[in-house]
Amino acid sequence: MASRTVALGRGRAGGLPGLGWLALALGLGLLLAAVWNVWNFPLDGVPPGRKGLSLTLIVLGLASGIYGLAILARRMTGVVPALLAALLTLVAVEGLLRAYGVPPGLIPTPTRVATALYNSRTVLLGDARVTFVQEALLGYLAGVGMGILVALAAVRFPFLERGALPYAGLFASIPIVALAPVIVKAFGLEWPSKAIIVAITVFFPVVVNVVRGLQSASPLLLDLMQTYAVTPAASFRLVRVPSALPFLFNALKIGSTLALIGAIVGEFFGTTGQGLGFRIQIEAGRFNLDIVWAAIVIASVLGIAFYGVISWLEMRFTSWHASRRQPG
Amino acid sequence: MIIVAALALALYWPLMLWVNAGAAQRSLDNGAELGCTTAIACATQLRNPVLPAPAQLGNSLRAMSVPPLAPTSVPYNTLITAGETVVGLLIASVLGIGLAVALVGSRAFERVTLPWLIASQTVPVIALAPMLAVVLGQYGVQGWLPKALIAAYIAFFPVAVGVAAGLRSPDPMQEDLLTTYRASGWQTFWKLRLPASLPFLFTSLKVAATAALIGSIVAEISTISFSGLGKMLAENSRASDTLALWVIMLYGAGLGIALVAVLGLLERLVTPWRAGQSR
Amino acid sequence: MNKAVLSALTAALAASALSSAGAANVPVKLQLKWFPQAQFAGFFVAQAKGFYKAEGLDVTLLPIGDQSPIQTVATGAADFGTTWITDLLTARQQGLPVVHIAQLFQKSGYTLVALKSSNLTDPKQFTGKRIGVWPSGNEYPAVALLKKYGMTTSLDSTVANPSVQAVTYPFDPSLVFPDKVDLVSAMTYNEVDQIVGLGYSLDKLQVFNVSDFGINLLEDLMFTTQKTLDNKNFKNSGMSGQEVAAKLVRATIKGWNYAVANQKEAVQTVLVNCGNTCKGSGTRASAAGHQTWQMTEVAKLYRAGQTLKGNAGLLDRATYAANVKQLMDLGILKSAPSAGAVNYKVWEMATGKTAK
Repeated sequence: MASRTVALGRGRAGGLPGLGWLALALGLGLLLAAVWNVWNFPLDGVPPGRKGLSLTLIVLGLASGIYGLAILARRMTGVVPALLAALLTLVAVEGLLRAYGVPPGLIPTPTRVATALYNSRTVLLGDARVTFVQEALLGYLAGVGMGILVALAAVRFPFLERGALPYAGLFASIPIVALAPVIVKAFGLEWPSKAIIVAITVFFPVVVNVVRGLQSASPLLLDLMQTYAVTPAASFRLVRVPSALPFLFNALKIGSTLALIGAIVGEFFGTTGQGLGFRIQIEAGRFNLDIVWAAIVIASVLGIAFYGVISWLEMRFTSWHASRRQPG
Repeated sequence: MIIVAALALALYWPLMLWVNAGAAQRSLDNGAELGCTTAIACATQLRNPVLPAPAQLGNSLRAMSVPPLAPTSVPYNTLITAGETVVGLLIASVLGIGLAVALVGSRAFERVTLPWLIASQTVPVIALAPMLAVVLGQYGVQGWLPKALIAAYIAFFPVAVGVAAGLRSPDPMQEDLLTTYRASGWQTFWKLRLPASLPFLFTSLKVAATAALIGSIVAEISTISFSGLGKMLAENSRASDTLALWVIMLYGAGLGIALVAVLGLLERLVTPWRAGQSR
Repeated sequence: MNKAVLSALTAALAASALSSAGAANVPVKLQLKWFPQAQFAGFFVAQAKGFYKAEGLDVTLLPIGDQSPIQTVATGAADFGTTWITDLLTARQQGLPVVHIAQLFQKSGYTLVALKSSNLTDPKQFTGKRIGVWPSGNEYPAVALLKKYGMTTSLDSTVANPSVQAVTYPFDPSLVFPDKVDLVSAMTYNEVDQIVGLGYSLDKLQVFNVSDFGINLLEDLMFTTQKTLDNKNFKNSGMSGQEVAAKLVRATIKGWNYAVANQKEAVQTVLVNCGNTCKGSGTRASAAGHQTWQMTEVAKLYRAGQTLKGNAGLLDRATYAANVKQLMDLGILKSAPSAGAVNYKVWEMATGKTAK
């Protein structure tokens, strides 16, 4: 699919949006027909003829849908193409799972997950509050704050940079799963231990990146400031901070995905009974995989939103940087 | 550097005494027989310390490291995990670079897939690992390969994002220069974009290395495994062996650091023109 | 879909394989519920003493971490497995076609442990207490006990004011006991000894065996998939899946009988198979010591119920019915499992007796 769309992208610019919509609608229709064809059968009771028909419909539907999407995505911005792609994939997966009669205890169908999402919404939202707000967000903010402070100190006091920074690089490469059990053991089962795990995972990339960023300021510019007799504080603000920003945002983005994973992994080593990681673990043991996937969906939505907010901030503050430039 | 380390160690000792004495006191209050009578005496010899005393840790470290290549020793299991991680990283690099090229090459592709690539990273892999293993197991993929694949799954994203940024990083002036030389799109790609993305590749590979290590350990914990750090973590966490957990953490940390160091060396070999600035 | 062709093929193969039977052992993968330890002594003994070989089986015992054995068996990564009855029945409810073929432990080893100094002597006094349990389906016995005494827990997401606060923890009692919970779940054969290892000798502990209070949710059993049982030619061995299952169950029961009768030797066999997985904790860290304890306790669970009547491996129908009723009362099972959940034929084939 990758190479195909690339080829299309390189081809004649534009294409007909009408054709795109048509192909997409056709694809979606075929996929829905495939699902409907095998809708209400027991797991091991799908007639072979219907199974074969559904599989054919899915292949045709996907081909048509992807073709349509490739045309549309070249003209559209924002999240619409991504959402359409997800819709296609979900309907296709629903059809495949139903055609093959996969038990929900192994892989639940998307409609089952959606139902579970709705039915267990109160519990899952409570879990999300614990995992995201208390553990991931607080830990993230603490980690980032500490990281920036330490980085500033390291740049200001060279002995710190030489003495402590190498350790930050080392600590940044400690796998969090090896750290989590020890921390949960030391700080207890409640949410603070998870927030600490998150803070630690976020802290080291921030320190390393911010220090590198602050030092990446062009010596020429710094000299220039000196010639203009700009105060060191102002020169710091005008030259060093802007050059550190892309590095900081890089760390912030990496940290945003690490934070949720850290919180959830931490929960696997012990909780008091709330949190997305806890829910995933306990419901997987009960084979309620629809709830497991519902929790995963919530975690993903939170993760995407978190990443999106950081990216938006990055765009706003570092729009001048070369790596953000649209290719010509 | 050594001074800071000494300072940290000096701070560790009283901290360890303080937290362990508290834990010991609570156990003694509950009537536990610890083989010592005062909290402060117990602090350095708790079987389940909050923070281990250096001597305890040293003993466990030695006990669990010999003989180094026995299936029960930590060094052996570290090597197993290292192997899985390296294979995972290789797969992740190939996937990540391919994906980055596609992302940079086609806006349409980026718009359709990037949000989901990001989403895939926020999926808690520890929940996904057993399911991936189950699915792979159906096709006879067992042993170390599922662990490497799960490691690759976690690691490919930093690589893809980093390389994509790198491919876009060349200066507009340099691009213009190549245009004046009448360079084709492919030539620009090979001669300018790809070399420009190499430093980014290594920076992201260093991030990916840690991620891949997490992936293989998580995979070992949650699937059928006969060896590896993850398996040791699972069994020792069940056996409440805090000291063993610390030893495994140290080895895990060592492995993570070693992986990043090796990548650093590679970076200097492959992008010698950056050697001066990369530190 | 082309069953006719398949069965014709099988018949042909079966005929040819019969002549060569015994030449090569049938490879069988058996999924344990955890890393090697005396909990699975019978399997290791059957393997070490050649009981499986004698039946023409080449058995590989697979360890597992934080994953349910059901998943590896249901997907075919393993052929047979051992797990707990709640695990099996909830899996069936979710459409996984797994079938009970033999019941090894006749009695539940699940306990709740408190310090004697807490003055808890009766489950009626649990109201308002904090109880540490393992998640992932391992909390049901505790929940069932509480329910029996009219209490609710925070594990039930529909209850606003639970009378007992449940704290989940991952298999390491020292994380929560005795600082954060008043009672902690523990298996007689494992965690009770770990708690002793923390410095609390047995005379300081109040152990509530849930089976003494009418909660006897059965544990270690053997299971496989319906597909394996229906297989006419298991891995081209010429034997049906059911025959292989019967041979496996027969050799395993033999292994268990031997292990329970020769516990010292069984412990040695287990110790050969486990790395660090066998050790206890704290003052009871010695692997040999902990596994000896485990073997003694596991033997008690094996030598109970039907085993005492000479029917080792048989699932007691009354106990099963009681288990199903308890799980339905708890809302864990939405409806009674179909008759296909338990296959008595395998046991009958294995022992030559009639399952009553």
